[in-house]
Amino acid sequence: MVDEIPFLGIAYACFLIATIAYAIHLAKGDREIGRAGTWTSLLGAVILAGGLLVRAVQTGHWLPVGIYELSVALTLAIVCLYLLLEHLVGTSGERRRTARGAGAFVMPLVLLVHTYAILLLPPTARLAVPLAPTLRSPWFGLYILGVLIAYGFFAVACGAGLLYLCANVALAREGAGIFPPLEVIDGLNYRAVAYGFPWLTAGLAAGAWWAWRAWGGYGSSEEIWIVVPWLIYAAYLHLRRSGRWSARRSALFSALGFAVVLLTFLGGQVLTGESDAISSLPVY
Amino acid sequence: MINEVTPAKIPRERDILDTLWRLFSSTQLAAIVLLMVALALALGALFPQSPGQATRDWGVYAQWLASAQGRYGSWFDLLDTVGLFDVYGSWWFRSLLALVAFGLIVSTAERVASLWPSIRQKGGQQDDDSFADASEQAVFSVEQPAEQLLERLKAVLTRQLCRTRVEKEDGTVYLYADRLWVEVAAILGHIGLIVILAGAVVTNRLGWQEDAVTLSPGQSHEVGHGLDAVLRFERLELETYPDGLVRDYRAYVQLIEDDAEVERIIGVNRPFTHRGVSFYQISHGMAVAVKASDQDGQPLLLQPFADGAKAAAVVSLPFWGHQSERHFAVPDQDMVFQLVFYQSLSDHGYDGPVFLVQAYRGSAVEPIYNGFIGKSSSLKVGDATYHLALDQYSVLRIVRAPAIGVVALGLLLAVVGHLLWFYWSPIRLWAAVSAKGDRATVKLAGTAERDEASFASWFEGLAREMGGEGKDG
Repeated sequence: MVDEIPFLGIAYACFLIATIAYAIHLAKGDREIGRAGTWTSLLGAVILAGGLLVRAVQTGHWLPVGIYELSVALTLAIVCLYLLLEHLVGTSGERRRTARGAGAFVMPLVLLVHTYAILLLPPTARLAVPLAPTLRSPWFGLYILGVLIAYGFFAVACGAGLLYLCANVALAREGAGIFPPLEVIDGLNYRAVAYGFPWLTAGLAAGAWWAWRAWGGYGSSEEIWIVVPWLIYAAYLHLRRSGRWSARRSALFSALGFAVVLLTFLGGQVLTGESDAISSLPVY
Repeated sequence: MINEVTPAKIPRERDILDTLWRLFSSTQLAAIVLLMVALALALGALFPQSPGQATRDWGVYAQWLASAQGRYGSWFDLLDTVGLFDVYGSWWFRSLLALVAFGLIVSTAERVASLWPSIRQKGGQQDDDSFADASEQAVFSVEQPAEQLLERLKAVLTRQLCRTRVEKEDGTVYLYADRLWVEVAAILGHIGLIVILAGAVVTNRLGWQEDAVTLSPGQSHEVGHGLDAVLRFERLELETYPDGLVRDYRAYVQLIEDDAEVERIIGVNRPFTHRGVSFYQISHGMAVAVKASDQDGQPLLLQPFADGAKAAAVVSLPFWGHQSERHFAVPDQDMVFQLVFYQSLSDHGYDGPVFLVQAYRGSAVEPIYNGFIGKSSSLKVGDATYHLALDQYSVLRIVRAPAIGVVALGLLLAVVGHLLWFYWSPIRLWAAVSAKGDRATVKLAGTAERDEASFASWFEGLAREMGGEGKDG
């Protein structure tokens, strides 16, 4: 029987090529190479979606559950939302260059999560298990969907933030050079967080309602962990509103914010080596 | 001659209330408090929280205490003193939440106050300052009658979900447009959060819950807390996947109140609610119901070994998991039984749940009976006959949360408010259109509260669409 591993491997290769293409595009400003990065990312996303489809047939459910499926789904979410923002933001040459420049920083994050999913997780974490009774709820589905979309946007914001920080350093040393204008990068950074935050709110609300319907309560460690990124990004959005908060600080904050997301999502598993350790996505 | 002094020009001294109001409505303080709450929640999730108040079970508490003291050693007392083992019940965490709630109320009031004039006026003030202060400006001339151009501009802005207002003065038409509803959405989002916190406080104060009410078939539980009702558990129905794993399960219960009996099903994710009290199906497991009779057929009294368990002719023994044990005594026979549960024992030919049954007489260490049962059975041990019926017990949680509807409303408001607020930018636009023959001269200005770079691009597109060549004509 076909399993999802070959799909994941090919998608990995696509994301690696896309990372290199975006980096060359940023360094040389070659439009065709930037376009190649976009198309390779899209191809990788389609193949990864195919892998998840195969996995869904194996497990008998569409919802990603467990650290392995959630990591793969998060990879897909980051790539898809990055491509969506690249499309939405890239309305002019300058903006497209900014979005693809951010790709040089977003795709390594994709590779990081994907590497964890396919290379670092123990084989037991990849066992296909059917959906537990409590997870058979539409609210749980909305919970997962909301959080994955939010984390995907936050990854893009992190990439834009890192691009901004690099551009800022370059500007201070020798002028903008290869980097797009700072205000356009800052706009992308903000837009990614602003688009992700409502989804995190929606995911949290759906998760709270699901926990209420399933157990009559809210407050397990997982449910608390997911509030931590929400509070951090809420703080980011508040600081943006205060006039004294610079774009450089915003960039740094969004990069650190995604580090917290990764820490709350995968940190428990990485630190303890247990695939069911505490996570800000429900690992059941 | 007495010089007149305009009162409005005298700078008013800030009093302490003003200062506090500004402090609590500041976004910087809000951000700091949010980060502190995030840190506190992270600490609460990282440190093992005391189950003392939640369970009221001293056995569970003692187990937790021994584990935490062993883990943190000499640091335990210090960590306990600062409340790291009871973060959510600590005074400092509650103070932080109170600060969040107060900040939310103040900032919401501040937003409403600043928005109120715009709501009442159905539009914004329009003067030279509006144009001068706007972040984007364009002036251009188009070969088109002013009315037509104005209609086109209005149509574009309406498509952008802006409300528009038109005024005519000295041959010039002024148009004002904004997305006031987006700012109202932001207020809704904040109100949603306030409502959630209020609902949580009310539920915490007036609600109650009973955790882990374990019932075997035929057992009853008095609900109490003013609800004079008895819940009787009839049976548990399991639905499995082809590989035997549980897909779904549901408890069939009877609620007996005022001599009236109501039959209900409590499923996973499908609680049953009666007069504000909800019953949740949270777990299940294997149970063995035991009854015994002597050689004359007379029932024997059985005494389970469990806290508070009473001797009875029929006892039900719930098993928590693989290799869990239960014991009961038969005083009249001077016997003690031990039952051990296994999910399966393939080595012994059992692919499903199975129990090891051992019976001991007096203080003997060698069992007088030792065998496995994989289904309901009758055993002859000594002079007595024991009937062991295998069944499923149900673990229920009973909750009364008087403000859960309020919390749900708050969640809905927060989600809708945030979606509208962050997916549409609050913008303001001013246009002054003056006609000269068949030509119209347009002075267009606009400002956005956030994401100015995207707004600048959109504004340039709007000016171009209207016939200008982009920013500043």
